[in-house]
Formats: sequence, C-alpha cells, structure tokens
Amino acid sequence: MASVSTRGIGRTPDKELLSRHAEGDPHAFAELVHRHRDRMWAVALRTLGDQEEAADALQDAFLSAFRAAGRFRGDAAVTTWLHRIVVNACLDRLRRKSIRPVVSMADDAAFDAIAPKRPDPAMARETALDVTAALQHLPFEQRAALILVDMMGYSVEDAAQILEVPAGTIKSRCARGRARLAPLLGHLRNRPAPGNVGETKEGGGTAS
Amino acid sequence: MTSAHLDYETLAELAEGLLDLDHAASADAHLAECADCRERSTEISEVSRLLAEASAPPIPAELVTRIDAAIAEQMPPIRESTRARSGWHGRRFQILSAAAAATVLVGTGVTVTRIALNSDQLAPSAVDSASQPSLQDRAASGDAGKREAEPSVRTASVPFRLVRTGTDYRRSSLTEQVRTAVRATATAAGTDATTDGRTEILLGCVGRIGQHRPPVLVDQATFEGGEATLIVLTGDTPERLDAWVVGPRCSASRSDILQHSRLDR
Repeated sequence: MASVSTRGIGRTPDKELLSRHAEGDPHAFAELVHRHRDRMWAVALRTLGDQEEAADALQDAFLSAFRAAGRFRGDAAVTTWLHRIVVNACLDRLRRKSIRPVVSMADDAAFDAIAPKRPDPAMARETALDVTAALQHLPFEQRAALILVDMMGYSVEDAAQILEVPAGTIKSRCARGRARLAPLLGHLRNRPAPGNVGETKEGGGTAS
Repeated sequence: MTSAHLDYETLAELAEGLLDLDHAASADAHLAECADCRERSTEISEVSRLLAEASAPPIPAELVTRIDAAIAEQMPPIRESTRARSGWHGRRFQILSAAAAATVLVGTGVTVTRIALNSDQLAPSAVDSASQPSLQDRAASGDAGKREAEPSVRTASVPFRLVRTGTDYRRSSLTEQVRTAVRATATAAGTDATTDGRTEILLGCVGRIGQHRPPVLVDQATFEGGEATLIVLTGDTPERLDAWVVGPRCSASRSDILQHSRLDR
C-alpha cells in the first residue's frame, strides 16, 4: 500500500482524501481545501455579493464539510458535495440576516441608489460589480442556479445534482433569473458611458 | 403583429425549451415578424454572456490563512495511534537528549543554537549530532515509559532540529526565509541546549501540528515582531515543504496558527 509520502498527496483523488480524513488523517482535508477553495470562493462571493459575508460563509462551509465528511456517501463527486455545502452556507447566512427591502424592477431611481459606486472605470470590473449587484435582486434559488450554470459553467445536470432538484427546475430557475436580469443589465450591453445605470433599451411587452 | 409581444420570461423559457409545442410555435412565429421581440430575445442570451464573462476577484490571502487556521484548530488532540500504518504513521515521536547550550555561527551569519531533547527525563546527555539514530531504533528503545507519562500527548520523537535562528519571519517573505532557515540549519553542527518548561509545551505543539509528518525544522523565533515558532514539515512530495508559523499559545490541545505556507525546498 502506497503511503502518502511516497505517492504524493497532490495526486490523491478527492474521494480518497475525504475517506482518509474520515479515518483520521489530519492533512487530507487541508489538501481538499487547497484544491477547491478558489472555486468555492467564487460561488460564495457571487451568491452573496459581499466579500466579508462570502468570507464568513466560506469558512462556515469548509468547517461544515470537515465535520460532515463522515456522512459523504460517495454517490456524487466531492466537488458537487462541496458546492452544495457552500450554497447552503450562503443561504443560511442570508436567512439569519434581516430581509432586505425588495426593489421594484421599474424603480430606476432606487436601483441607482443601491448600485455600487465605481471609483475608476475598468470595464470588466465594472461589469462584474454590476452583474454581482444585479444578481442580489434575484430570489435565492434563481441566483444559485444562474451562478452555477451561467457563471461557473456547470451543466444543467450537474447544477441539478448540486442543488438537489430536477434538471427541469434548474432550467426554469435559470430562465426566470435571466428574464429578471435582462432589464437590469441592458446598460452593460451598450455602455454609452459609465454611470448610466438606469438606461435600458426597453421595447414593448409586459414586464415579467 | 399577429400576436401579442413576448415578455422576457416567455423568451427565456422558449430558449430553454420549456414552452409546450403550441406555445413555442406561436412564439417562433411572432419572433419571425417582430424585431423588438427578437431584440429582447437577444438580450436574454446576452445575460448569459455577461454572467459568464464576469470575473470573480481571487480569494484573499488573509482568508486562505484564516481557513487553514480554522481547519487546523479542528485537529483533535493527539492520541495514541493504535492502528498499524505505513510510513510515518504510528511512529512514536521521541526527542533526543539535551545538554548545555552553545552557539554556532554559520556562513550566512545566521546564529544557530542547536537543541536536541530527550523526553525521558529532559535530563542532559550528550548527543552526537552527526549520527542520528534511525527511527526504528528510536521507536524500539524505551518507549513504554514515556507513553504512560503523557497519555494524551504524543511529544515529538523524530530527531528534529529545534533551533533559534533569531529570524523575524514576515508574512511577505516567509517562503524565502523558510528556505534560508532550512538550508542554514541543515548543515550546522551545533551543540545542545538546556530545556525549560516552555519546551514541553512546545513539543506538544510540534506534535499536534506535525502529527504524522516528521518535522524538518522547529525555529523558536518571531513573526512580524511577535513571539512565534516556525514548524517546517516535509511536504506532500519530497521537494515540497509545509511551513507553519504558530503563536505562543500553541500546545498539544491548541494550534494558534498565524501563517501557513507550502513551498518548494
């Protein structure tokens, strides 16, 4: 049997690291964290839209995973399991906080007021800020679905596994989420000038 | 127009194939005739593109350290390992015997006081630094007594170097400083030092952080000006090192991690 030192922990598969951790190997979980923390950070940050909140949620998530490792059944990928824990940790944080006032989609002035101020135009960064801010207006389940599918690039099936809902539900949440975001992100498509947050190219038709 | 305009939600659902056939057919028919709705349909796919292009800032370094420390704090206090394992697992850590302190100046100007400790009675006895006994010898010789003395603490038993390089380790230059310290102390002859009460606690700390990995170096030093200990372990491959900086509260039951870094030798 190859020992950790000869084989190199860096080449050990995720599932094996997790079972070693469950058996008491004190370095196995740290290696898992090391491998996946960047992705998990992206998920937490995008889901919560705030660096401090995301940092706390990510720490909660990894500690949760640390303790729950023994219950991992091995039927899904370890990353699927980790994503699920991160998303749930984010949801927990949101539930514990007071409910934010809902901003009407038609209320451009209010949206301007809460849109993040941009100190210096850096196009991609501005877009990222606007996108992240806009995402916070979605109901959690739509936000989570779009983050996994559109932002992180997971397939509908993988996202369905992570969130433990049918694939059709993921599609539906993504569709509704995109529909809600379209009027909020119209300004980013055209970019006449930075700061024109309220201008969209609204055509006719009913607002959703 | 032959039918009503399509709202964003209908267009998004159409794109995902969520509309029933009739509804989808009439939506397609309308789109064929209506530029405004086609434009709105494009906006829907643009949302996906904008989401995909939005970059996330990288994970802050402080968060990395914080999470590493939080995970490390979860490590259970060291217990007797009753399972047979390969490699380092299950080996008892022992400490070599200690004697009077002496200081050796190495070529780099780093002051190295070399300490080797015996956990039997922490009494001084001479040790030839050049010939380290093999682990098997160490494990076989007189372990039983020590085992009972500290049933919940496995103090370090692998012959490792406990030094005081006088380095003030800094967050920004840690990896380079660790490399320097490891190289500087690798060849230092050194002689032995007396132990104090702190050393027992320190050994518990080293055992907790090191667990199944043999420590390469333990440097009682400072970190960003404050009292700290650098514990360097062999990494996940032979070319790698695992460096932990712990604060003064590190012990067998507490990690008190200040910084963690992985590096190449």
